Amino acid sequence: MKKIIGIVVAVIVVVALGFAGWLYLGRDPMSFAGGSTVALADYHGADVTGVPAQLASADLVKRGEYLTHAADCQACHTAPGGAPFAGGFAFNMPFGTIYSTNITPDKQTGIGKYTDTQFLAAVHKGIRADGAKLYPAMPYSSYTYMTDADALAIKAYLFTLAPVNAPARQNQLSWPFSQRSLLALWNVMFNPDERFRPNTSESPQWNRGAYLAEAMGHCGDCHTPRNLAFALDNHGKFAGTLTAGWRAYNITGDNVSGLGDWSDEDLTSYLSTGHANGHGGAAGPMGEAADDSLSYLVPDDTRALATYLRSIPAHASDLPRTVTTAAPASYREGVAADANSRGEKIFAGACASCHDWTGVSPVTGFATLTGVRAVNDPSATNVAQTVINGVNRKTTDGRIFMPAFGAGYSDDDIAAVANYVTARFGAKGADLTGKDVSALRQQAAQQSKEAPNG
Amino acid sequence: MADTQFAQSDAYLSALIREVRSVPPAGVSLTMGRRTFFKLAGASAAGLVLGFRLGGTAFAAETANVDEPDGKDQAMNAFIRIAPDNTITIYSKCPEIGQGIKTSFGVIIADELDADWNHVVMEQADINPKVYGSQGAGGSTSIPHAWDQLRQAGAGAKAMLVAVAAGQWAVDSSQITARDSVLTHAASGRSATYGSLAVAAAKMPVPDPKSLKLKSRADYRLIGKRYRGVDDPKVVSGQPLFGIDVQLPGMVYATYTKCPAAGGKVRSFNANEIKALHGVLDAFAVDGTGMMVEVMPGVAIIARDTWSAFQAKDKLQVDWDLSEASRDSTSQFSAEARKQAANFPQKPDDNIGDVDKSFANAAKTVEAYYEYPFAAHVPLEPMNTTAHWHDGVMEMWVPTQQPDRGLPIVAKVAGIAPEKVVMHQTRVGGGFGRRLVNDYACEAAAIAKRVKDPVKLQWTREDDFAHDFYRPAGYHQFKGAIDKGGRLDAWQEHFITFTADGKKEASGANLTDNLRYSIKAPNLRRAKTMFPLRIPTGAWRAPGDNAQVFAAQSFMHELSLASGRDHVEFLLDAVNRDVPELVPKDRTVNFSPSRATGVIKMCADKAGWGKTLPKGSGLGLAWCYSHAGHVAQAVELSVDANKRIKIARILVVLDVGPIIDMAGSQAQAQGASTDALSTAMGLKINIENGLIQEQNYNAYPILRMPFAPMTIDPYFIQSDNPPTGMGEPAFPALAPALGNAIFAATGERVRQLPLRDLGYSLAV
Amino acid sequence: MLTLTINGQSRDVDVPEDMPLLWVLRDHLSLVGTKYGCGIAQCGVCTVHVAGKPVRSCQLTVGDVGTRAIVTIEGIGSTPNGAKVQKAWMEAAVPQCGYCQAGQIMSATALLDANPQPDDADIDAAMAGNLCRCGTYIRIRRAIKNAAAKSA
Ligand code: FES
Ligand code: FES
Repeated sequence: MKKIIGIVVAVIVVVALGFAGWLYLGRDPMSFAGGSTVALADYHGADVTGVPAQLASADLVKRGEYLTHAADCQACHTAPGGAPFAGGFAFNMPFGTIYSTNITPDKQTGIGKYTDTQFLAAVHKGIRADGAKLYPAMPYSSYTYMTDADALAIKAYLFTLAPVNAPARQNQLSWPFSQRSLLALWNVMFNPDERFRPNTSESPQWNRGAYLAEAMGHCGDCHTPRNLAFALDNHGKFAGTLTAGWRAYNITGDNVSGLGDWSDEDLTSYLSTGHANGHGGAAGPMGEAADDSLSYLVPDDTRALATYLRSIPAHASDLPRTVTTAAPASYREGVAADANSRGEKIFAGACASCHDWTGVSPVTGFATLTGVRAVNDPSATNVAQTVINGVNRKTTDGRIFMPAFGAGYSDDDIAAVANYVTARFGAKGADLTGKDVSALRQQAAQQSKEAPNG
Repeated sequence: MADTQFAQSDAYLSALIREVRSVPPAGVSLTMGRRTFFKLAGASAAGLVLGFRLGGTAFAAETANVDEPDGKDQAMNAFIRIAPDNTITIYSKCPEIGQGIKTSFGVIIADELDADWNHVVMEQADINPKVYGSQGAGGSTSIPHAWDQLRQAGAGAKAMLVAVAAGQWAVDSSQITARDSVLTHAASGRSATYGSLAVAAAKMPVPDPKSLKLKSRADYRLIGKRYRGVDDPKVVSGQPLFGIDVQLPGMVYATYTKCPAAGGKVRSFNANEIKALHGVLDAFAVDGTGMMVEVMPGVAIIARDTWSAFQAKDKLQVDWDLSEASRDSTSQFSAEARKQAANFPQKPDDNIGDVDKSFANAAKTVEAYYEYPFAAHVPLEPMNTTAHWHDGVMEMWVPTQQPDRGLPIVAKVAGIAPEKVVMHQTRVGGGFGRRLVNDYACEAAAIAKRVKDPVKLQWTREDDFAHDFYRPAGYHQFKGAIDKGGRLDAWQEHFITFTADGKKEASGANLTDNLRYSIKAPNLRRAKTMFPLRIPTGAWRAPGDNAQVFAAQSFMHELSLASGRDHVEFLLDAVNRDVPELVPKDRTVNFSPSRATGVIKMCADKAGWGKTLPKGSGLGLAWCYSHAGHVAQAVELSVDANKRIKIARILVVLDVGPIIDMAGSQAQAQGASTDALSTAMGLKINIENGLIQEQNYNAYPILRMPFAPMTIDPYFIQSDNPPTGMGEPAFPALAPALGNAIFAATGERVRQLPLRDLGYSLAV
Repeated sequence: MLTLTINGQSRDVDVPEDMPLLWVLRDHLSLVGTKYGCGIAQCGVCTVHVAGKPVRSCQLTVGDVGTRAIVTIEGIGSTPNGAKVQKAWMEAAVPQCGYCQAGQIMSATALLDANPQPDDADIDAAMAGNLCRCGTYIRIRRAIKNAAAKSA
């Protein structure tokens, strides 16, 4: 009997360790590439960290500004309608709400008193100046790959901002998540706490792309699924997942559900403007990433990022191939209307004038629905979120605008129109209910940054 | 400082609403004044009739042919000009805001004149209250106010024509008949067109208005028929008509940005950046007068076209001083009102009989709490005005409902004498009460004074949502008693509303007199609680009534259910109760229990009251006395498990006296009912920390075609009572009829607007 | 300098390419029949025809028009269906304030161009994007049916 128990325990331990090991292996975002890596100091290729060549001779603050954009600090550290970098943005997690903090140089409520060492500890290890541990909503397990020099350039830039007095908002977390001390364990497991190691088997361009994607842009924080411990699970690297009520899509090379069928131009266009004709545009959190971060990258960096993305192993997800043919011109033809035609009537009133019954906008390519990933996502998550929150982006190619319908339309009506849009213009119609839409609203309560009456 | 200005602004508006709401009793409407009737011979007529148009080419088509100094038209009076070719030009003195007044006024005058309607041309009169008297459009009062005056204008001109003919033919004027702009003496077989007599007629002495015999209803030839709107040919072909269409040579374009929280002031703005933008000509801060109804502080941007101005506005960054700005919050008001509802104030406003005793002895008592939200007007034409400061004169083109009121205010703001303001009334792309206030005209004047060219100020739709004079929210705690005979015995109402000055209700936030006439209970007590409010409120189509009738008539239905009696029977009983009057004795009103009875009965009859409907269907009815009209409305509908409402039918029965233009009146009845349905279902303005949350139509779901009812049947009870207006009365009773129908269909009582907050929606 | 074809005429305009067609028409070409109501494609008062399709001119930048022919309310009366619709509108006394009606007529004409005998659902689909604050929908529906009947 004792023996049996012993065996069971042993098996459990082995399985647990194996599982832990499996989790642990999943934490390295760049291991997929194989090859051998070296410490940065030992790397003799071109500069793969820091700023691009154009800015090499710029002063520290300018360089810091570029890197701050590349690391996209602003999106998370700015509340809707609030002062940039003053924090207060809410992350609605399954276990509660975490608020981003003030990273303006205010001495009381911001980071004005941080020393370089303290700043590096926060960025690389998730440790606050007072020693408390940061929740990994702050992507320090990605930022940990950032060089000291780059992190300090960012600090130098942040310290030139006008200090804003904005005390941190109280997080609302359920037990045990409210216990910051438990994060020590998490960090041991999931934060490698090591700087970027270039891969000598890959090109300098690939390495630059890897640095931008992993150490700076932290793409995986939205696009890589998480494990039970809420850490990134790189077994499914970039295969897409749901983050803050929006679906971050599969950005692996999968031909059906990923970027496999995107041309290089499509990819660089999307990365630089947040829009690619035929594939649609960024909205919600990706719209912010495009506006606050990606659109600031110089073309060489955009290409490097594209090169890196192209190297990610294809990983099929549950999304169907996008439909690229336009719907018929008459509302009567095409996929049958929803049973009571409510979605169709709402589409007719609020949507058809820009998106057309064909899905190909007569007004602007930005409004074309045909071929758009979100429209071909049978969960209709991002379609519903876009209807609720709208889009309001300024790009070098012009303004991308769609009104937010969340306030004027009921959950039922938003569900009806999202179901209609995915059925008519996408691969498969969604079957959202009003309840689903209500849940989506909760999860993304903070996405709209439109300040009233600006 | 700011507080007094808020209060002053509000007081101005309250007075205005009171005035436009007070319909004159029969036979006391405005009559033709001496100046109006002043003989205007030949060319000099142009001066008085049209004011003076200084180089205005705003509407070239409209100014042509009437402003010629050597024009051959003969002015008979300020309303009527007759050309040799028998074309008759009639001036409509009040603004056309979609209520059809330009057509109706023409029909009234033309009927008395016995003019040939096919050769009548309608023009907008310029603003000159000394000549025309009141020139506003609001509260459905244009018709009742002008009824006698217009008929006298027509009859007076006809008398002058007849006098000439009688002289020329040497016959007695009583033997001359008039028809289709031709005078005939049957006995001698002589006839003459008005055009041929006009030159001489214009020189005839002006008859005494009191000597004129006006037609009786049986003699109307034009009144009561169906008309196409006189501007319709221009409307359907896109010709310039509206304020926003005005174009002047060398014109520049302006936007004006005020603090999103009412009452905020400009500290500074990014002037250099704005002025450097493409197409921008100038940008400057305006202090304003601090009065909501005039000019609040803001930043003007002047540009070479609208787009440049709007683009620059997008980039405008203003540092606002918010120390005196609104921090109002609708969610707080709503929560607070609910809390206070049960505390009936010590001092009632109305108190008759003995309410407490009635409650004590009642067979049944019923209590209920009702609420409805703030609402915005948002007519489709955004606020705009074109102004040109030249030669010491402020010449402006304004789409307003109150040009006569606006003119002196504009003069004050511009710091010039009223005589130096020339205001041209344009057609108005929707009023609904928003344009009773001339704030945008004042802003244009303030801006024009600093710009050498003519300038067109246009608000964005977002401006329009953010800077309205909103329909105030309201909260009503009712308690009613039914006596042993099943009759309404007591009515107690705690009305929670708003105040701008801390003393009396904010404009549009008082319990309307209409309700005081129409809720009849032997024991009645009303009191109010007022929350201070910074957000400006005002008149919104059928002010007060538009929502208060929902609360009162829904509760009336609750009482009728408690009484165990039929709703219609219960209503008729209540309407005809002989109870002490609450209304101040010095006010004469047209409220009549028998007319109310008439519309209720007819509505019940037409709706098939009492018929058996399938499960899930219901018929609801409500009535109101509003803006001198007696109205009953019925809604038949069904409601499914998802709370989707399918409207089968809407009926409106109105007694507004004789109908002038049947097509126009039907349009008003259908339009007001549609508007009321739209508002009841979905419209709501939320305010958080002084900021209006809804910024455009995407957040303010005005009813669209697929959800609009297919049939709204209007019926009119016509009578010899003087006509009253049609702009408002078909609005208020719709919402309670809808709620009562929902109750009939589902057993669920609707005590809150909009219905979408309760999960209801219209089925497709 | 851009060249546009409007109501059959060629018009040159000197404006930035990102200016919405609406403001080019209203401010630079004196074609003020096309109205501004919301600027976000929600009201329909700015509707014009571009290559025969109803388009919200507040959203279409002039640079994106290209060589597509534009017809506005000022020119729609010269098309057979446009004239029919205008007539039907007057006969049914559709307009109240009238501000939305240019857009309504442009949408209705495009509907009849594509579908000479529309039923209620067709009318809903074509007209749902045009708001009327005054509530003229019942008569709009009737006028469209009357105009269609005339073409039968
Ligand atoms: S102004 Fe273009 S749709 Fe409203
Ligand atoms: S007629 Fe006034 S908005 Fe349609």
